Amino acid sequence: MTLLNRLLHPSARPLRLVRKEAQLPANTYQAVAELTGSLRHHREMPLRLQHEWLAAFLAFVMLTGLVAGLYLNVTARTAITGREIQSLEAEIAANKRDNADLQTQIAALLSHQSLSQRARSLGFEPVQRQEVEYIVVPGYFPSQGVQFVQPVAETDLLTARPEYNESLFEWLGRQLESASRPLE
Amino acid sequence: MKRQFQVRSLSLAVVFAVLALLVVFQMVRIQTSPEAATFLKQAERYAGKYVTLYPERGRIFDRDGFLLAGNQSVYEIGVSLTEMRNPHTIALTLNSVLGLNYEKVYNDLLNPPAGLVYLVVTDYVSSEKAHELMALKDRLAEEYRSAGDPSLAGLHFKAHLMRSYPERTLASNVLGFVTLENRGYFGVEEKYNNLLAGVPVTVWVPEDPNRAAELPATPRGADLILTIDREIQAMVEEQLRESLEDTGADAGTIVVMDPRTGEILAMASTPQMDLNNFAQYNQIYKNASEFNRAVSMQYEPGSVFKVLTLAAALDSGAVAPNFSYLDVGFYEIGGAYVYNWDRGAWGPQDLLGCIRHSLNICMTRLADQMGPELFYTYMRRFGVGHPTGIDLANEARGRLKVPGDADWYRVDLGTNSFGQGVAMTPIQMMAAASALANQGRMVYPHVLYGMVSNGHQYTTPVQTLGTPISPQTARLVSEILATSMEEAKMASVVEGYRIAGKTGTAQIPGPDGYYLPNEINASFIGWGPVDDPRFMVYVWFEKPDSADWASYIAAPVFREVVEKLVVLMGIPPDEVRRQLAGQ
Repeated sequence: MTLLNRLLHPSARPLRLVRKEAQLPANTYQAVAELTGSLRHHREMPLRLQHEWLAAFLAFVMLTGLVAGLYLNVTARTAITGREIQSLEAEIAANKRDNADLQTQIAALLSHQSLSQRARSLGFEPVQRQEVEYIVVPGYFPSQGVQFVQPVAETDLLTARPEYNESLFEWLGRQLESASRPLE
Repeated sequence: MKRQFQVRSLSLAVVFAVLALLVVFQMVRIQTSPEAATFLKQAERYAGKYVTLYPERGRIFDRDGFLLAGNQSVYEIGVSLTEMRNPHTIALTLNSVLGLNYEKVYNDLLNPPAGLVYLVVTDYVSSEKAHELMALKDRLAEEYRSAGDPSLAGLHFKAHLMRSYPERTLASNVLGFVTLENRGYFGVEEKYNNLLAGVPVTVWVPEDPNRAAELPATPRGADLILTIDREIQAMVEEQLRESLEDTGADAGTIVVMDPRTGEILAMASTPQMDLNNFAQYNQIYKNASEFNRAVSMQYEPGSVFKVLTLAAALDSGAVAPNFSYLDVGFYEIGGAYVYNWDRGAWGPQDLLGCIRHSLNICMTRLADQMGPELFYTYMRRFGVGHPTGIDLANEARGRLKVPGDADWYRVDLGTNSFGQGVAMTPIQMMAAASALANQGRMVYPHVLYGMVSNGHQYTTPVQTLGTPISPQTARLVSEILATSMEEAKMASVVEGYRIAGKTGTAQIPGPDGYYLPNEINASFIGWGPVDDPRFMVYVWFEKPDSADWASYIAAPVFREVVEKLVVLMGIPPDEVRRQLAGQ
C-alpha cells in the first residue's frame, strides 16, 4: 500500500514505527534509545516505501519553493513599482515648482517696470491726450469682461483602477456585490 | 560510539525543537495578549510617517491677466548628523555662501539636542544659492574620494515654494503680503487668505515601498483676478510719487474706481513697500492703518462732504433747485456761530454759488432746514460711519455722531454739513459719491473681479449698497458740480471732457481736540464724463507744504491723473464720443 493509500484509508493498518515493548522506559536515556531504535526501524523499511517518503518530501519542498519564489517575485515587482511611484511623485512636485518658478520669472520679465524701461530705451514715449485720434472701426467690439480660460482642470490623481490596489477579499466582495445587484 | 552520536544529535534536535516551539508559543502569546494593540500601534508608528501636503498658494492677477503675485522655489538646508563627516567644512561653506555665523553653525552641528538626527540649519534660501551649494557638494564629493577631506556629506536640500511678487512695489497697498508661515497680511492676501492658501492634506506615507501609493491631489488655492488695471495702477503710483515731491505732503492717496460697477481700477497710497522684502514692514509703517490709507485711515474730509449735504437737501425736498439766500458771513446754530472758509460775507447766493465758493454757511443752512433727523437719515443712507465692506483687510468704519450720542450737540449738525466733526475713509466717500455718478445707486466698491478654482471662473456680480437719492437728484447735483468747476475755471478741468468734482480743504484736529493752525488735508473727488461716468477719482494729500488750499494741491493732480486716464481707458473727448455714437 502506498503512502497516499495509507493516508486516504485510515482503517488500513497504519505504518507503525513504534517500540516493541509497551511498557515505559525506566529513564530518559532509555527513552532516547527507544526513539533511536525507531529510526533504525525506519531505515529498515522497504526501499519502495522510503522512495515514496522522499518523493513526497521533495514535492513539498518544491511546492514551497515555487510559492516562495512567486511571492518574492511579486513582492519585488511591487517594491520596484512603489519606488517608481515615490520618485514620480517627487518628479511631479519638482515640475510643479519649476512651473511656478518659470511663471514668476516670465512675469518679472514682463513686469510694468521692465517693459517701460525697454520701451523707453527703444525710443518709445507715453502717448499724450492731444495726440490720440479716435476712429470708428466697423465690426470691432471691445471685449466685455475678463475670462480666464483654464481648459485642463486639476483632477484627483487617484484614478488607478481598483485591480491595482484592492486585496483578494475586496475583489471577492466587489464581485459578490455586483453579482447580487439587480439587473438594470 | 555510533549510538552515542545518535543520542547527542537527537538531544540537540529536541532542544532546538523545544526552542522553536517556545518562540512560536511566545509569538502567539504576545499577539493575543492585552498589550497587543499597543504593540501594533508602535509598529505602525515606525512603518511610515504623516506628511502634510500644503497646496501651492493661489496666484493673483490683474484684470488683463498680468501676474501680480506668484510663487517661487526656495530651499530648506539641513544636515543629517549621521551622514556628516566634516562639520568644519559645512560651517565654513554655509558661512561663505550664505553668510551664516560660522561659530553658531559649527557648535550646533557638534552639540545637537539629544536624540536629534537631522538639524535644520536655515530656510528660504534662494534657488541660486542652493544650486551653488549643491554644485560645491558634488565637487567636494569627487575630491573627497581622492584627497579624503573636506566634505559636505550630510548636507541636504529640501525645496518648497514661497510667495513672490514680480511687480515688486506695484499695487503693494492692495495686495498685502505673505509671511514665512504662509499667512497673508493686509490687502487681498489677508482678506482672501483661506481661498488663496487652499486646504492642506495630511496623508500617511509608508516607508515600505510595497505599500506605496499615489499621494492624493492637493489642488492649489484659488487664483484671484483683481479689478486692478496694471497700467492705470502704475500711472497713478508714478503720479502720486511726483505729486508728493511737488507738494511736500507727508503722505498721499489716489484711488480710481468705475462708478458704474464699483470696480477699483487703481488704488495707491504712500508709503509703499517691496512685497518681496516684507521684513521691512516695521521700518516703513508706524501702524497698520498706514498700509493702505484709502481703506484704513479715516479723516475729516472737509468740503468734499458738501456734495452729500447738497444731494440730501435736494432729494429730501428741504430746498428747491432754485434755492437762494443772503450770506451775511455767519450763521448761528445750537448757540454757536458758523463762518465761511474766509470768514467773509458772500451776499446773495444760489446752490451753484454755494458749491462754487464752497460756502460753509450755505451748507449749514441746508442741514438746518432739513433738521437733524432727516440729515442724519440721509447720511446713514450714504453709508457715513459704516464700513463699505470692501474686500480688503483692515477697513476703518469712520465716525458719524448722531443725535442721542453723548458727544453730539446741535452745532454738530452745522459742522457735519461741511465735513467737519465727521470721519470717513476715501473709499467710504467714493462709495457714497457713486450714488451721484450712478443715477442714485450706490455701488459696492471691490477689488475682486473673479476667482478661478478647479477650472471654473466665478465672476463677482455688481452689487448695489442702496439707492439713497433719486436719479433726478443725482443728475442735478452732478450738473451743479460740473458747472461750478467750469465757471470757476478750476485746475481740475480737463479740456474736452465734462467732469463733476469738488475740492476739500480740512483742518486737522490735534491731540487736544483743537485744530492745528498750519496743517491741512487736501482732497478732491471727481467723476466723468458727466453724461456717462466711466471713472471716479479721489485724491488726498496729508499735510502738504506747497499751498494751503486743495484747489492748488489736489485739483491739479486730479487733472493730471484724468488726462492720462482717458488715454489708458480709451475714452474719447465728449464731442468726439457723441460724433462716434452718431455714426
